[in-house]
Amino acid sequence: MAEVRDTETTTRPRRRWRLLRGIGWLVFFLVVASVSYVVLVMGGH
Amino acid sequence: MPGPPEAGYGQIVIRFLARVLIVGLAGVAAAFGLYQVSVQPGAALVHAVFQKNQQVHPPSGFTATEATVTETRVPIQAPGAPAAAIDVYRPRASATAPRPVILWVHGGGFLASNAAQFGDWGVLLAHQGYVVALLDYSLAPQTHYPAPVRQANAALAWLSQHARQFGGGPARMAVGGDSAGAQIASQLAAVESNPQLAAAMRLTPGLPPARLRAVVLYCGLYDMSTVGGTGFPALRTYLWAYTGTRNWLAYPQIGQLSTTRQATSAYPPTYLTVGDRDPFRTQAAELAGVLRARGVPVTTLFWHGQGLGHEYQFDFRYRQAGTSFQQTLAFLDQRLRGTGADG
Repeated sequence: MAEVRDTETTTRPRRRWRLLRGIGWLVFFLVVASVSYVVLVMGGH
Repeated sequence: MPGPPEAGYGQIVIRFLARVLIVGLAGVAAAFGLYQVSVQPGAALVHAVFQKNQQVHPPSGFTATEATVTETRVPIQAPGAPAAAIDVYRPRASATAPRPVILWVHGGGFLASNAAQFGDWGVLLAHQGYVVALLDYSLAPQTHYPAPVRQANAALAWLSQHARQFGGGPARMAVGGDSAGAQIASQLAAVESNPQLAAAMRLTPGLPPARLRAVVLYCGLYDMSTVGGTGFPALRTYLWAYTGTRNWLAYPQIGQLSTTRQATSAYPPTYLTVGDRDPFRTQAAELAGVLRARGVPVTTLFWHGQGLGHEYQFDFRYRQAGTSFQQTLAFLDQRLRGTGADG
């Protein structure tokens, strides 16, 4: 039982950290895509 | 058993930078893909920018000017196009003679703005003794070319028949416009004076010959074969949205939009102005040259070394806007209040 509890306490923060990292990369992707799109539209002729 | 060797700081930084590069490139690729596939997001973006900005900064004392003018909205039915509307501005005071009539087509890249945003402009012109109709035409990309030209033509026809109820004289009419509206207005004047263009567009000119006495064009685009070289921001989005064709230069009717090609010697006298920092300055110079070569009377107000941008004419915080307005009035006065029978 003690071993199981140990595993849970270590995987939860890891999962949360992975989720936060994923969200961070997604936000970065969207920011780059948005800025690129605005530059393409405003510069397009 | 020993675990895998711990990554050093250098390796961690390199791995992070590689991820930044990959995700960044994916973002650029996604943006480029979207840019190629659809005009809708770009049109929505430009539309949002236009809708936020006030289009006219009137001169001081405008509140008193506004009180002298009244406004009426009139629906316009245009054959082969959605219903449009005009906002008619006229002086409250009655006149002894019918007033000249001006149809104004607002700018906004064919896809943004509306007549209400140019209401102050209608007030300023009407205060000078004109009946001014601001056209609310259908916007791209929901509606494509030639709907706005059809609507403008129908508005001219309506004004010709009903101007008297607003104190206007239908024998003294002018059209004007700014930016994309200048393109539409310039093409409308070509429709009224070039039967071949009218026939190609399957349009019956809204006015009898010679009724259209003047054209006022602010910072427009008039030659589709050269406008791409002006570097005007978002031009591709405007013309893709307007023509419905991504490669707008390949649009079959693109030649109809070039007033430099469609204007004949019967084109009405024209007033042209553009800022010296406006990318469309070469377009105005080109049209002035073409019209003069065809014997059309042309009045120009071009600037040098003033740093005036696109649509400077509506920003009365700059003295040059006042100069442009006074010269526009002088031109209209000469062309619309000169000799000739009134209607």
